[in-house]
Amino acid sequence: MNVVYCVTREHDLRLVALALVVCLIGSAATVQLFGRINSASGPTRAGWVMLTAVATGTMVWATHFVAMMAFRTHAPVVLDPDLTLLSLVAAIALAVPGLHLAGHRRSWNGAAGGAIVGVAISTMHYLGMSAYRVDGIVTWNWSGVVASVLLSVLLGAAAFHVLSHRRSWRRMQAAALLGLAIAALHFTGMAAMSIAVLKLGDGLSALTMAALAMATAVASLIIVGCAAISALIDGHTQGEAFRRLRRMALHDGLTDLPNRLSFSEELDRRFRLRGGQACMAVVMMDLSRFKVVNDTYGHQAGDQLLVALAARLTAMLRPGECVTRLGGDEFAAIISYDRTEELAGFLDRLRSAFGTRFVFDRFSAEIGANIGVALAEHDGFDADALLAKADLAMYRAKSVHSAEPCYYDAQMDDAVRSRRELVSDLRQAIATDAFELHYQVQAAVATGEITGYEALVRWNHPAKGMIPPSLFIPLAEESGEIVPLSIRILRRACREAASWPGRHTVSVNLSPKHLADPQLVETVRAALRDGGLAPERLVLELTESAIIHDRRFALEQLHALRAMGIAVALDDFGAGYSSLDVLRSFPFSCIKLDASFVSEIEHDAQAVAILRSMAALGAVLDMRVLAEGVERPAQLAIVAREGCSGVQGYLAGRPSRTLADPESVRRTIGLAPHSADAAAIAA
Amino acid sequence: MFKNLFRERRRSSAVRRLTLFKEPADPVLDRLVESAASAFAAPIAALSLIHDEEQVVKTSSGFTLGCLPREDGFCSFTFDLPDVLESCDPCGDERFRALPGVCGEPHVRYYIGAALRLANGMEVGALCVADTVARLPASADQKAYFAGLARQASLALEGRPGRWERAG
Repeated sequence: MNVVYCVTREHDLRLVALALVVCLIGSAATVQLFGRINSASGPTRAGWVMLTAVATGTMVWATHFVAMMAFRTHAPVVLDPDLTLLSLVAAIALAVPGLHLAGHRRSWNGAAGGAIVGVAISTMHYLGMSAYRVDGIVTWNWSGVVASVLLSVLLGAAAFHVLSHRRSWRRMQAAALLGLAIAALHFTGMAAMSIAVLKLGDGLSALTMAALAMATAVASLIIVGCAAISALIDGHTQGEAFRRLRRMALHDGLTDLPNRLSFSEELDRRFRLRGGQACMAVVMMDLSRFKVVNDTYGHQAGDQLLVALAARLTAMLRPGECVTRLGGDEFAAIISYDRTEELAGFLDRLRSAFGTRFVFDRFSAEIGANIGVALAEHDGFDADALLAKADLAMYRAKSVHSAEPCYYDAQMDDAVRSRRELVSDLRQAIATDAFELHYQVQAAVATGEITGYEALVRWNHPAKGMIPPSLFIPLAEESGEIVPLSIRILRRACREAASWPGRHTVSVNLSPKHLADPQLVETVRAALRDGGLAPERLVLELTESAIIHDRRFALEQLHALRAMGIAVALDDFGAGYSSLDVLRSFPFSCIKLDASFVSEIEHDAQAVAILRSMAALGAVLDMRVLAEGVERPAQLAIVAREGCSGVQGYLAGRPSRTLADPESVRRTIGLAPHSADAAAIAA
Repeated sequence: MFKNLFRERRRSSAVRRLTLFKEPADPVLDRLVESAASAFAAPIAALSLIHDEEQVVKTSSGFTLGCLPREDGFCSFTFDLPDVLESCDPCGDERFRALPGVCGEPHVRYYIGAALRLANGMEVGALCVADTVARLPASADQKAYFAGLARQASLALEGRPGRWERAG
């Protein structure tokens, strides 16, 4: 009541209105500037805090000053310039910690900082009042003073607390609250003051006061306006730069599809989304035959294909669907839907995107995709789980070479889990050297003498029993354990062979991956040295694929091994490419004919013909030809007749921990029915 | 009318901002132009910036031309299209028939171009490929790849490091 009386009776209302205009515009500018504090960090942030404090202090001070000019008293008035200036500096200085604190995004920081700003406003006001020298007795109503300070602190706290929520209408609210804090303090403070006039006289005239008020208002609005404009400009450029950066961070530059990051964001977002569509699925795609295009037509062709595919995929999208490129030739889609038919429809459209040939000026190509699907909630409750399952389903589609989308099912998990367990057991077994070597005898056809043994690895799993090499060797190759395993076998074979009574050779199989290992030569040398085996007694057996992969390096390795005195045999010949070029590329000591080949020779005249030419080829190239998988005397007879020099197989001896009895081998091989009998059997 | 004028002003300032830093050559843009030429196996490819009344060729393959009047080039026609502009018969098209490059050297008989659009939607230039012999229309996949090159070029123009230092 007092306040209303004070404002209406003791003030020039036009100047009060001007003060309110300054106050509101200034508050709006403060709020605008405060937004920049929030989005900056480091020195920039400190700069914005300073600028905002200057704007806030100036605004508070100008409001006060203009409102004081509006105050009409009958006593003469003068202003103390030092204290007036000090009040401005104090307002700015106190606003700094308040704004700094309010700028931190923690729950009650806004209110606390705002309260400090409220204190700054109060300090400014009462300092300003002490600069206001009036010829009369000034008495203060202390409860009014306390009320004014409390009001300013509370309203200031409310203003900055509201600002900690980032909504545009909150800003208007905050500006209004801040303006209210300043006005409430000022006029409550003025109402709490009463002046007993002592003498009438001349102080500042009303006209001077109005002029001063106008000048102050304009000057302060210019300062505050400049600060606000800089905030606007900075916000605009930052906004544009931010949008551009964000787009670059979330999109794949080549195809313009969203990238892996935005895929995870989108998936997370859709998981959090309640309501909307009932179901969601994640679809993973991996292009087949893409690598061929890349290798045949070059890198640019691969890019062309990816961009065109992205355009096709984008064109087929409907609302609720989104396709992203995870990297390389891997794509993923998210689809939200209500009915299963919608998902089926999406998958149909997806496949039709691959249905027609990709045609470019320079080349055309047909590519396919392996598609894996995982359903939300059904297969997984979060983004990572769902993605992993869709991935599994995609690998299943890949392994069965199916163009049909493959849906995830729980069995895939079991298969993967048991595989993973086996790999970890395998690592354990390698670490503890829990393998055994069995040796299969190799004999010369002509004499029946034992020439050597092939070392064959056996794994006796503590829980699962014997695990066939056909299972764990590929596992070791895929999991990267083949080289350590191969080293174990090599060292063991060298050590054991060194303790044999005779001077027979020992053959060890070498994986293509181990041949590619730059350490191989050193490993072999160490194995021979530590085992105490003469290099001449070691034979390394390898398949053609080992050489084809990186031919130049493979041949370098082989020559280095050969220079050490180690023999190299070509294993499984006749089963793979059987390239004559490989035979020509390196002086192998021995060609081992694949067992599948020998099993045919009893019934297949062509197999016999090939066997014969192989033997002839071996003779010409000065390589021994050894037939593997010889199980029956009839096979031995044919092999002997056609000119093979060695045999290996169940007939001569099964793989075993113990060495073969030379006498019995000689009897079986050496006394086998040769030439005439064999011809009779073959016929 | 006024809207158009205003847009031209905005285009000019956008292009000026892009060319504030006069790097002699931009390897990324060069590579994109080379890719366009090789994908079409065409003798001519270029990337130009267009504003006011002129078209400035930033990077080119198969010819050297620094600058030409805007109305003498095909490229500004790409601005009105959301997609790519293709002309397999410029002589039969009244928009292009009288262009110096069509009736004189190098006698362009095939043109494909796409506008370079900045993130704010402003077109500042075009990527184009041209041939001196007639060609069949490009396939949809080929056009999609070409549009992709133009998009990458826009990104490269806008995202050059010099600009980032300025903005940051």
